[in-house]
Amino acid sequence: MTVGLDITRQVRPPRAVFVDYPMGDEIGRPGNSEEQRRIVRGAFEALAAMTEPGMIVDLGMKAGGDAPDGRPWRDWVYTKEFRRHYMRTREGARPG
Amino acid sequence: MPIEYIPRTRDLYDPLPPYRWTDNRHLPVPWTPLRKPLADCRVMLIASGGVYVDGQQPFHFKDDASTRIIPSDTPIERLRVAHFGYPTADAEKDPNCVFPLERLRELAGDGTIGGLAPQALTFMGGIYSRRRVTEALIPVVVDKVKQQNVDLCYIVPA
Repeated sequence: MTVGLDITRQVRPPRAVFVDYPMGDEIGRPGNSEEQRRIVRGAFEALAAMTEPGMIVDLGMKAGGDAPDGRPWRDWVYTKEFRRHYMRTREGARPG
Repeated sequence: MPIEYIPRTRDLYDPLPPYRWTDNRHLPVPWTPLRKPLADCRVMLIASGGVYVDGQQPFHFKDDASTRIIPSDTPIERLRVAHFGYPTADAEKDPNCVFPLERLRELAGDGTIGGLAPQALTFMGGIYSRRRVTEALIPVVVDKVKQQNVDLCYIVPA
């Protein structure tokens, strides 16, 4: 699985399946079993289409939802502000 | 447009020196054809989201290249998450977000896949040292995969 197309295009694993979801929700949102099922089933169904080394299949699934200030999550995830609120440092604390 | 994580990571950790992402574009892509129908394949789940079982040692964040074995029949309520490189709140609520053990058990149950390996394998993917990944982590992963005698690995990064 991948949510980072630019990284995967550079690393070139034998097979990859892409969903446009935030890092941390690679298999869908918490508690949404149906969405998770579509992603996992989609990944296995994509196996048949991956006949050449290095292919990346896009399942065409995009996460909805916004950042807390109403911006789209794509503009916000993995930014400094995002990290301050939602990620830990290597020391285990919040960057705060 | 999908997120471009490479420039975003550079900005996120500025003014630290930019992380040197692996670039295999000049190398041939390794390839093993799938030789069996999916319904006959034994599948192993491998995930880098820092998932462990309650009672195991949690991952630390300083280039921890250790692995955890997670029996494939582990109740989802017993799974925990330790990772600094992505927001873990969703995975703490529902580990399937980065470690879809319940979803894979369903696929094994309805015959979509032939079955699950007895054990899944996890690690904490926020390892800055590529040397530690290639020399300490990967040989262990390869060994564990060979021990499970599987046809397919389903790899979920986080």
